[in-house]
Amino acid sequence: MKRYTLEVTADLPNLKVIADFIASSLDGIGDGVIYDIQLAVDEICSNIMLYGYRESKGPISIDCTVGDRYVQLEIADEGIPFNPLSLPDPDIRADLDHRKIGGLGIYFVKTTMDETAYEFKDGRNILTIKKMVNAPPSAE
Amino acid sequence: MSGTLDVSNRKVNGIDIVVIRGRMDAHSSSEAGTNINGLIEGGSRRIVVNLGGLEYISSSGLRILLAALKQLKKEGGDLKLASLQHSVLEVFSMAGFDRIFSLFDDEENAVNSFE
Repeated sequence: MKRYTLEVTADLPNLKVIADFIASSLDGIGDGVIYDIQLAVDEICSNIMLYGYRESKGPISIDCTVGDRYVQLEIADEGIPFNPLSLPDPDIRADLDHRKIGGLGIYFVKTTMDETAYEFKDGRNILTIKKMVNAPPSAE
Repeated sequence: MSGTLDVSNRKVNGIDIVVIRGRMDAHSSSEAGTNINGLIEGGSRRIVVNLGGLEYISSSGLRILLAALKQLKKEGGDLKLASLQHSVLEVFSMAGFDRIFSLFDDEENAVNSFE
């Protein structure tokens, strides 16, 4: 099991820093898995950056654990208490005229990850996401 | 400078081509939105967006493209997308956007679809 951590300011240009952190932490795990996890973390962090902090740009900390058959990330912020998982799913079958974009990002998180959990603890929003991955070919 | 998104413009047979390369996330997508909105405000009604060099898109990028499509349809125009990479296409499918947008394998087919 390996652990990687990153702390950045909740500022939109740091989305690229976060994407690079995910790519380097998960190097060799498979492009599809990396893409899904980058997407999920990007959507969660975008929400924190855009809506989580009202006046100041506080910290976002990311704790990434890579196990034999899973990747788990814990994303924490000190912004206003909010459970993004409580957002209703968008109607992805709606036609163009009725199509709304709200909630799509968190829907991507729920769709691409195998487990999602939220808690508010010690003044921090903590979102935990987990994705199962196939054992590496060498493990047989 | 992070250099995460490049946008360039061309014109082919009277159709505006917007080439977007790199990443469309919540930070970089606005640049693409400004570019496409500028074309629409300038009177362009037929736009092809070439996404062959787009490696990554989040819901923020989808929002920009959806807004542009809605605006163009309102004005009697249309927006078509060409050359999506597999990973980007997966995000479109997950969102159901593959049924809302006209998607083409390459830019030429997208241009020709305007007749």
